Amino acid sequence: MRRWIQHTVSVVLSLALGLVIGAFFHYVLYRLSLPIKPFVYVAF
Amino acid sequence: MKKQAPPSLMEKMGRFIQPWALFVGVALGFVGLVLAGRWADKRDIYAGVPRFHPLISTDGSVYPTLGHLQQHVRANASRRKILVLVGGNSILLGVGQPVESLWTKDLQKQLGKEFRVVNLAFRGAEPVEMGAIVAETLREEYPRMIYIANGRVDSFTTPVGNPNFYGYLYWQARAAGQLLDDAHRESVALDSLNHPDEKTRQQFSEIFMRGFVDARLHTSSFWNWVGQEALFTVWNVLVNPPQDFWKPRKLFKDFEPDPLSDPGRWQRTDLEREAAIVRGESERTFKDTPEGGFIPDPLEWTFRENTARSCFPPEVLPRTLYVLSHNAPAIVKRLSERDQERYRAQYSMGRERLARVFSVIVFGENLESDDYFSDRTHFTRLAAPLMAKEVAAKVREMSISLGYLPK
Repeated sequence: MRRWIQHTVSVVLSLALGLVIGAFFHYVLYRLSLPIKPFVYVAF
Repeated sequence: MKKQAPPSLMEKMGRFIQPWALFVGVALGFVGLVLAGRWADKRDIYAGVPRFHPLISTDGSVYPTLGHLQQHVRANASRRKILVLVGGNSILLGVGQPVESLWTKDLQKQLGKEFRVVNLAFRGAEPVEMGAIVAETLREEYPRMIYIANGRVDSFTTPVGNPNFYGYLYWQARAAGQLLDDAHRESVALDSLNHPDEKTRQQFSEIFMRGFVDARLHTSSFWNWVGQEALFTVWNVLVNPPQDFWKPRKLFKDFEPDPLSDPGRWQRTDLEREAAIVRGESERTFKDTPEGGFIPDPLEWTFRENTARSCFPPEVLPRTLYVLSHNAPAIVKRLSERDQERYRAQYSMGRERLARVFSVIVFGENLESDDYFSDRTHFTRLAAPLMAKEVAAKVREMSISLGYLPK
């Protein structure tokens, strides 16, 4: 019984960690697409 | 006997983690946000915004997506109305006009209920960028549409836009497959991706990838939505106070001040520098003669006319209105009489040549200094209703000739 609980907790935590990594990867792609310096308008 | 070292934290964690569950989680997390981005792309996250002020545009590290701009139009304009989509640069954005005196509000009043005006102008945008892309991609949803752009006579360079600033929306729309077929533009796009200069080629390769990622994986759609509604994750120099950089952008108001409240504003302007820019523009199109006069450079004008024509798909040209606006009299008056004459000739010929491509109006010939911000191009709230009146008259005329309104 204890082993089963330990296994379930391990799966849930691994899944949660994976979700965070997946979301972070999505965010990294967004940040990589942004220019390093924003285009700040001066005059045209 | 050697004592075994206790397992490190990483080893302990490694034993605890289930690899298959971790990979499933990574996939679910990533795909979940792609789907969330698709959902976010169908929301008008800029609801109630009359124009794209600096903190919701590129100056503020926000690069509005095609989906969000389309939704902004849909939320503001019924398909039963004639859509007047204002693109172009800071002049049409209304820099120099507090939001309550914005010229597009006057334009809406002038045009009345049959029309719906949406301002998608951005600071420094070229006529083929931003609003132009949105207008092109909404062509079937809004069959009765007029696109307004502005610039100088030499504002047309390439149909794919500037890769460093606003060109990103073209590549996003291209990756999404929402653009009209235009063989010339496509050949320019492919040439850009294979440009002989390595730096240029790299810039276009990056923006191509960026367009693909945004169109297919909806990264900007999701994180722009988060930044607008909940938490902005990028530090930006324009946010004041700086520690508020994380606050959702919907909380920041349009902070365009009224320049007329500062009567000394012209004293801080380098009028000579501005006059030199104005002089330089007309010198490029009208060459000096040995007799002391000037004549139009035929090759230059033909080049400009052809470039303007080739920057848009042919189907778009009949419903495009181009606004050429005059420079501030405080600056034009600093030119010599001969240079002023050349300046006027440039506008006259610019109107004539560009009118062969699309509809054109020239605005601001008889304005005064208080009609201008403290630079050569932007208009204050005093000029806003005047520009709206002239543009509205032309929009009505075009609507009749395009069959949107009965004769």
